[in-house]
This record gives sequence, C-alpha cells and structure tokens, in this order.
Amino acid sequence: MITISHLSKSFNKFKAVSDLNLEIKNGEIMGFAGLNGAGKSTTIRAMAGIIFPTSGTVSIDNNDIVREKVKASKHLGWVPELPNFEVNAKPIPLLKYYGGFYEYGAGELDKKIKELMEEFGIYNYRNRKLKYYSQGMKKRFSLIAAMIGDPDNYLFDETLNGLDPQGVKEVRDIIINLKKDGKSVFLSSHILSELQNVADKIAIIKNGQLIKILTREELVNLGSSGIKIHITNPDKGVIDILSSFGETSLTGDYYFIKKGGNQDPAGINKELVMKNYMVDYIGRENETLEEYFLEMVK
Amino acid sequence: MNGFLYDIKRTLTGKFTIIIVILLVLITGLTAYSVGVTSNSSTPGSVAIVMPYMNDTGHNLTISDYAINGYGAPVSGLKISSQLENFTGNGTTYVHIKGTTGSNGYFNTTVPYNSSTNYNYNIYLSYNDGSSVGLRMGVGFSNGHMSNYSECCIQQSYSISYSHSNGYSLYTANVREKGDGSAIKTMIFNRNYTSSTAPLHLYYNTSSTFNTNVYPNSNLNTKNVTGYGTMKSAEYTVILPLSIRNNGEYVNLYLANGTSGSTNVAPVAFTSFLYVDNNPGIALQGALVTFFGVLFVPILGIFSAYFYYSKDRASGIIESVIVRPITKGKLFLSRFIGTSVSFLAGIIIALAVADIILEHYTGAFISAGFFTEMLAGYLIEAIAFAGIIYLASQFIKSQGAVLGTGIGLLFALGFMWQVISGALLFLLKIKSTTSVYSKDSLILNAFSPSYFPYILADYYKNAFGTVTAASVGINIYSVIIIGIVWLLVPAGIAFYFTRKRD
Ligand SMILES: Nc1ncnc2c1ncn2[C@@H]1O[C@H](COP(=O)(O)OP(=O)(O)O)[C@@H](O)[C@H]1O
Ligand SMILES: [Mg+2]
Repeated sequence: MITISHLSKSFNKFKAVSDLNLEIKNGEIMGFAGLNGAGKSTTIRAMAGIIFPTSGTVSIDNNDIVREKVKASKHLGWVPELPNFEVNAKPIPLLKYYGGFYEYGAGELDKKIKELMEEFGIYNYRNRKLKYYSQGMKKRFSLIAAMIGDPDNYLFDETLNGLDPQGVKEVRDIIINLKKDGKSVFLSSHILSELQNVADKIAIIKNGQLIKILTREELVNLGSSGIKIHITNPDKGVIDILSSFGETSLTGDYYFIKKGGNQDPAGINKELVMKNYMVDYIGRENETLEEYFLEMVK
Repeated sequence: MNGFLYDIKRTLTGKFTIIIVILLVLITGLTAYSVGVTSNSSTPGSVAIVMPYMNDTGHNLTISDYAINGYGAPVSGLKISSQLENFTGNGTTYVHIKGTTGSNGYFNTTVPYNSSTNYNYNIYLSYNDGSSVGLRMGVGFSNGHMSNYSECCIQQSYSISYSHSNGYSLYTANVREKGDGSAIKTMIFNRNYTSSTAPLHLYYNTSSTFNTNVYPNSNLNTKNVTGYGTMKSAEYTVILPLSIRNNGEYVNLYLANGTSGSTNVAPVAFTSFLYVDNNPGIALQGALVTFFGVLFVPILGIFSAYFYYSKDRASGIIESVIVRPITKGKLFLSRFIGTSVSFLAGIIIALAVADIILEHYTGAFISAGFFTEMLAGYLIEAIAFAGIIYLASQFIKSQGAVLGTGIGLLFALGFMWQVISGALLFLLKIKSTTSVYSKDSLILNAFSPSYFPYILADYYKNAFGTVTAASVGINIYSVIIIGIVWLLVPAGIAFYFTRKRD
C-alpha cells in the first residue's frame, strides 16, 4: 500500500508537483497519466526516495520514505523511465549487488536471479555486458532489478512506453500478475489509452496538480468505441455523409464518429465508396479516451 | 548483511581497489628500489668490527681479537691476518699472526714478549669465503698498557672508539638494532673485565656541538646528564632513546664509577659521537615526497573519488542503489569509508613492500614511527582530495565537470601550489629572505592537502629548513588539527549536503 499525502516538489521556484494526494491499495493498479512535463517522473522519484519532497509525505506500507527510508525501500520496487545502469557491468553481478541489500539466505539470491532472468528471457544473455543489451533487454533488466527484493509495491515510470506490441503485452501481463499477488502498482504514462486495459484507476496530473481520478466504470464508458476513418480524397461532403451515422469530428486527417446510432463500419464504408470516396482505413477505435484526456489536460 | 557494511565490502573488493593497490605498490616499490640500490650503507650482517686486546702476562703477550657484526653479534669464521710490530732501539721486527675467529667471535693467541719495547698491532680482515670486509685497524701497546686504537674504513654509520683509564679497557661500538632501522645500539665492552671490576654507571646527554671538555678528569654534574644504567659485566648493550629528532646532534656518553646517585662523579670514560639517523625511511621519504606526494597521491584521491562515487552520482546510476534499503547518508558514508579503507590498505601494503626492499639493500627496516608518519601523511592527503571531490559532486551534476574540477584541483592544490603560494606571498609583498616568509609559506602549505605530508615530516624530524619545526608553530596540536581538518571537513560538508539535497 502506498499513501501519498500533500506531496509537493519544487525545483527552485518552479512547482513541479503540488499538493498531491493518492492512495494505492494492495492488489490495485493505479495509472498515472499526464502530458510530458506534467510531473509524473518527479512524483515517482520522490515516492522512490531519490529526491526529497519539498513538503508532504509518501509512505510505503506505512513507512515514511524519508524518515524510515530503509524499511520503506525494502518494500518498494522502482522501474526508471530510462534504464540507467553501470554500462560495463554484467547482469548477474549487478543483480547480486542490488540483491545484497535485502535479506537473502545463502544461495537463495542466486536462485532468485536465475528464476527472474529466465522468466524475463534474458538468462541466455547473462554473460553479455549491459551496454550490449538492446533497449527491450535493458527494460527487462530494469524490471528484474525492481523485483529482486520481492517488494509489495511497485513504481513503473512509463514502462510500457517504447515497447513493441509483444513487449507491451508481456509487461502488461507481468503487471496484472503482480496485482493478482496482491501488490500495489503505480504506473505512469503520457498515453492514457496505454493504461486503459490495465489500470483499475487512473489519476490524471496536469502541471503538477491532480485533476481527476478516473475509476474503472468511467474508463469503460469513456473507452467505448467510436469509428475512425481515413479517406485519401476527402472534401467537405464527407462530414455530411458521416453525420448521418452520429456526431462526427475531424482530428488531423482522421474522421471520428462518436458511439451511438447505427454504426456498422461496413455500411459506412459502402456509403462512402458509392460517393467515390477512397477509404483506406476504417475501424472501431477508442479515440474518445485519448480525446477526452487531451481535452482535459490541454 | 547491513546495507552499509555490504556496500563498503563491495567497494573494497572492486576492481578499482585492486588497481589502486597495484599502482601504489609499483610506485613505492620502485622508489624504494632506487633508494636501496643507491644507498651506500652495507648490510649490517656483513660488517665486521674487531676489538683487539693485548695483555702482558709476564713473558708472553696474550692477544685476543673479538669480532662483532653490524648488529653487535659475534662474527665467527672471520679471517684475521695481523702483524705485530716490535719497535726496538735497533729497528723493527715483525711477527705475522694469522687465524680465524671461533663461534664465540674470539681469536686468541700468545706471542713472546719483551716489556722494554713498544708494540704496534695491525690487523687485516677478510671473511672465510675470501671476501674482504675492507677493514684495517691497529692498536698500540707500551708500558704494559694498550692504547690508541685506530680504525680505518669502517663502513658508514658504524663507529667504534676505545678508551683506557683507571684499569678499564673499554670499547664503545655503535651498531644497528635488528628490526628498528633508526635505533642505534651502543655496545660497550670491557676487555679486561674480571669479577672484581667495579660497576660503571652510564650517563648521557646530547649537544649541538662537539663536546671536548669532560674526559677524564673534570667532575661530571649528574644533574646535567641523564642516567641510563649500570654496567656490571664485560658487555653492556645500550639503546638510548634517540629519535630522528636528534639527527645531527652529538651524543655524549659518560661512564663513571662510584656511588650511583651522587651529584658529582668523575668519568672514567667518555665518548661522543655524531648521531646520524640511519633509518632508510629518511631516504625513502625524500624520494617519495615530490612525485608521489605532490602528483600521484592527489591523482589517487581524485580519481578514486570519481570512480567510487562521483561518476555514479553524476550519471544517475547511483539512483538504482539509492532505491535500495539504505539511506543516502549511509550510502555516501559507505562509499567514502570504502574509498578511505582502500587507500589505507594500499598505502600500508605499498610501504610494507618498500620496507622489505629497503631492508634487503640497507639491512634496516623503516622505523615504526617513520612508517606511521608516512602512512598518516599520505593517507590523510589522499582522503582529503577524495573528500573535496565528494564535496564537489554534491553541486556539480555532470561527469565531465567533476573530472574537470578534479584536474583543476590537481594543478592548483597539487604540483602548482608552490607557484601559487609563492605568487600570493609576492603579491602580499613579503620578502623571501625574511622569517615571516617561511612562516607564511608554511601557513599556505596547510591549505593544500598535498603539503600535509611535508608538515608531518617536518614535525616528525622537528626541522623546518634550518630552524626547528616547533619554532615556526609545527607542534603536535597544529599537526593534529590540520590532519583532522583535512580528514573530516571536506567529507563532512559533503555528507551534510548529500542528506539535505537531492
Ligand atoms: N531536477 C530538476 N530540476 C529542475 N526542473 C525539473 C527537474 N526535474 C524535473 N523538472 C521539471 O519538472 C517538471 C516535471 O517534470 P517530470 O516530472 O519529469 O515530468 P513527466 O515525467 O510528467 O514528463 C518539468 O517541467 C521538468 O522540466
Ligand atoms: Mg517522465
């Protein structure tokens, strides 16, 4: 369980985070969404004990991260936004170093390291220096480094970001498994939809301030589908046609029809093609979530 | 394991610590080697000092040669080739005497004797293995008494003197104490000792000039000298509490019979010798002080701090450790203590290796005091430089800037400090010939850790240029204060900031 209470952090005069209050319960995944520079990493770094809060507190399983740092850190795993490790190190010695800060019996740590590395598919690369690891492998190593102490609370800073679809799925599964094990997870992202399928709640931060906490139900409603269309030869007439299927908007090159009414993509496609429009993309999308998000944090 | 001890252990077993130890051992070892091979003092074990004794036994002259080595131990198997010159009114006759000392160090022989003539007894020495020890010496004998021992060519820093008075036939030899290079062991031999010989009391003092005015008649006021002990046998070993601080002083030894404790005694023997500390540490320190002390140790301190701490901090790599169950303060301390302990281990090993090399070439170990003094000086210097870099890392966020600062410090506080302090004194218009100048340059030296070993050495030798160290304010208090300041202040401030700042 993680409790953030009245957390503020300023850099000189600049307030990166102001008066943030959040609670992440055991077995809960809390998403943390905000645009770049909103204060997500700052919040997470203060939660991890890397930087000191200007005011307010963070407690990990009821241990204050500043005043009871050792106890609090024992129960916390942190995955940084960018993997940053001793480049010349090999994974096993480095994990042994990290693992040495926790209470492991003889041989237990070696076993744990092997298990985790196998689980994350990098055991075969155990003799390779970290600097020769690919981005994906580095990210996996970061996850292992966070899990080495077997903590009950996790901070993931943009961990899904920059992964290929396969990687996203894998990490998502890991996070969901952590939840199943009753761990509390705090996962930030600058893309709301990335959090949608994994988070129980999403806290939205803008300019260092919490502006809303979306619950699962709200997410489901917001996240319901609309239809997204791309036309290679659009003109003014398109909006008229599409409006007959529902409320239509144009974002960039894409048309979007909000949900409701008769929304069969095949029917819409047929209608457009008959009017000599060339449709190169049409599909159900969760655009509204992102739209909603962008609207909110603008 | 406790995270703090755990991190220290990791620092100490890291690759960089091994590199430090190897570099330190290489540099001090090579320095000791060059000091050793150029030193001209022989190994004490291969020195032979012979004390001839002649005694009139009526119709015969008993000749007894006793040989000791540079440690004062009897020398067996020493070939003695000698000749007795008999000066008569109608010319000189010669008797050749050859022999080898026995396991107790003695070679005894008897020659016919005519008491109406004077004798000269000259000795040439070589070892059984044929190697010459290069000593030639002689003793005169007339009127039934042995007199005027003369010696030639005894190797540097060994000395022997002879005095004959009131029935005592006394040799005083200065030799080495095994295991303590700086101690001079004075051995007194009474060659005509018998069980009825009256005990002799030994007194001593030191003087800055040669003392000629005591032997043997004038009374010695025992208040002006220090009593050492009583000689009640044929051989008496004296180790005076002399240190490097007495280097260059004359040591006066007085042997007197009579009641111990009386104020005025008449010395029966007196000898005075110039105390030259033969500790090889002096030469080693002289050789280390420039390159090692002003360039290498600062580099060691600066780069170790960079590799053990600053690099990780500036690159953010340390964050992956900060999130572990350890506080920032403890992590700082563990790294700093790890750095310091690696210096301690490296310097101890390096000096020990240097010590073994020096012993091989000079026969003497660096004294414990000198060893400690050098260890403390270089250790504090290295820790001070490391502390300054730890401090700089609290404010400087890029690796390049930290390294740049380190190199700047190496110039400013290291090998350019003499130039900088000279320039400062010039700007302050202090003339280099005045005593204020030397005092002020000393004060400026206290502001660079590179010069702490100099100050400590000055204190240890109690010499600052041509004056005593104490006269310019180098004393136990000032040395300890400067040492503690360098040891604790930069690191202490850095520690304060690491706990308060991100
Ligand atoms: N060490 C720092 N010094 C000064 N400003 C900082 C520092 N770290 C972050 N900031 C500022 O705080 C704000 C929030 O940054 P950050 O928490 O990294 O945002 P996010 O992770 O949401 O993209 C940004 O404006 C950033 O420039
Ligand atoms: Mg961020």
